Amino acid sequence: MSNGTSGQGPTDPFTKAWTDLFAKMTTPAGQAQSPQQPAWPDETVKQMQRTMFDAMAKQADEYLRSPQFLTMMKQMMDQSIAFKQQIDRFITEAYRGVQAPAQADMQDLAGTLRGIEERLMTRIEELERRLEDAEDSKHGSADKPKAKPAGRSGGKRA
Amino acid sequence: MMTATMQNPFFPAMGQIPSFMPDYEAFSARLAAMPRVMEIAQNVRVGTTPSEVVYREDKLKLLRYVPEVEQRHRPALLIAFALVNRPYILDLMPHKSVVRQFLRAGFDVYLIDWGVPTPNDRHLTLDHYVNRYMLNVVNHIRQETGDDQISLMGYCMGGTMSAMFTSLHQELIRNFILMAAPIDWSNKESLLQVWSDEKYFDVDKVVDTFGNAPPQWLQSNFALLKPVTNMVEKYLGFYEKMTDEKFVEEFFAMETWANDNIPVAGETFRQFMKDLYQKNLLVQGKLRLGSKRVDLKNITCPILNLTATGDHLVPCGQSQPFNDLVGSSDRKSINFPAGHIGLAVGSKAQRDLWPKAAEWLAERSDEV
Repeated sequence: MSNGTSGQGPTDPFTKAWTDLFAKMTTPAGQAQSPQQPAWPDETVKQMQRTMFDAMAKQADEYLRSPQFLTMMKQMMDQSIAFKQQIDRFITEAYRGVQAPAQADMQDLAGTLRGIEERLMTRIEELERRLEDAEDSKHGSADKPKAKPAGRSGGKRA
Repeated sequence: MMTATMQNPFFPAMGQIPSFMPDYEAFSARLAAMPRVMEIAQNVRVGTTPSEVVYREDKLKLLRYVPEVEQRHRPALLIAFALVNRPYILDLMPHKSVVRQFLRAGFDVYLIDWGVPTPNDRHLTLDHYVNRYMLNVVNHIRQETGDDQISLMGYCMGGTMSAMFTSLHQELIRNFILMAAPIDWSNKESLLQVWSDEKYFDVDKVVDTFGNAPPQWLQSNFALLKPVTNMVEKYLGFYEKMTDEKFVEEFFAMETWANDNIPVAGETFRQFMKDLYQKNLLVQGKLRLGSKRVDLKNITCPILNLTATGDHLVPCGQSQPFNDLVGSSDRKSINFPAGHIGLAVGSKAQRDLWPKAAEWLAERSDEV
């Protein structure tokens, strides 16, 4: 509703949307052509629909950028995170209680393997670079793209 | 009792009431079309251009498309899409296929299907995707085709990753096409950027808790970018046109893709949000992938930057600065009237944009 003390227009987005719609409906383009033509032309109905949706979309966009919405989204995310953490803790303890691996354990293992892979690949790359430098200095550097064999990281031709 | 000679006091008022009551004939036609609509929905097929998987690595598959005409140009074209959705948007339907546009132009076309990350893939970083997967894919194509270089096209987040790849491995890239790809996050035009402000969005907490970025959460955010369009207008439009079989097929093909979200590997998501959305390191030349610093000035090949004027996901202001940041002398931009997805699948884009893009690439490629 309008804020009478500051003299501003309605701040409720849907109220504003309806106000804009009916303001446009009172313009000649928005009115029925004559009392003898009860059915409004399709084009006019579509135009009214378009106007209403555009107004709603504009209001929605403004709201979705507002600090109120952003704060609400943050709170919802924080609550989801807290809930997920609680569930995860419960399930992990249940699995460990029966001596079974939990998802956290599998992910830790995957993380360890990735770390090993990373270290190995870095070493291999370094060795390849040194080998290429050695070959270049022996044969002279060629001005062409350096081809590396595919599938170094485990890929294969299908 | 009223007769025809008596004046119905409501008649004059009824003449003023807009005709919001349904047109019963049209309504009946829609009702009769329902079984056919259900049949189309169940049988919708997407990504139907024939291809074969020529390379696999972990979840990644490299598709090579079966040529439709004799190959006229080389080197081959590799297309990289984003990590958040399936790549068949570039080959949605036979008459809405960017892949087919280049096939018909006589190019050898490859497409990366990144696959679906599982919880154990949460440790994959942007460095993995760019300097391992993409590099291995490019080297495989080079070996398979016998060319030293390839042409590369990246769409959306795939475009950002392709730009990183090209700046780090420019010697392997002959031509580069960027398509609706975010590069510069310095303005807050996009809602996504507003939402990812570090005041309101703690990406570390999200990744540490959920691992990979959940697909349902990503999808709901995308839908919320245009709530009126996605939750009201879309269905109203469907109701109005559901007797049009072609429209219904396209609608369900699009819906299949839009609802086919996949998770994003946790560490990749973390770095993308922090280093790009929040800190905008790429345009500052401070983004690091592993030990390597990404400098867009290293890009010296011909570039074509395709942007969409109605793109709410990646506004033009996020893509257009790319042309001023690269070291290329051959730089072209096309700002096309379409949305983010319309740039690929829109009828106008298929008719007017993609033949031009194929022509641009052909002019900068060798004849076979």
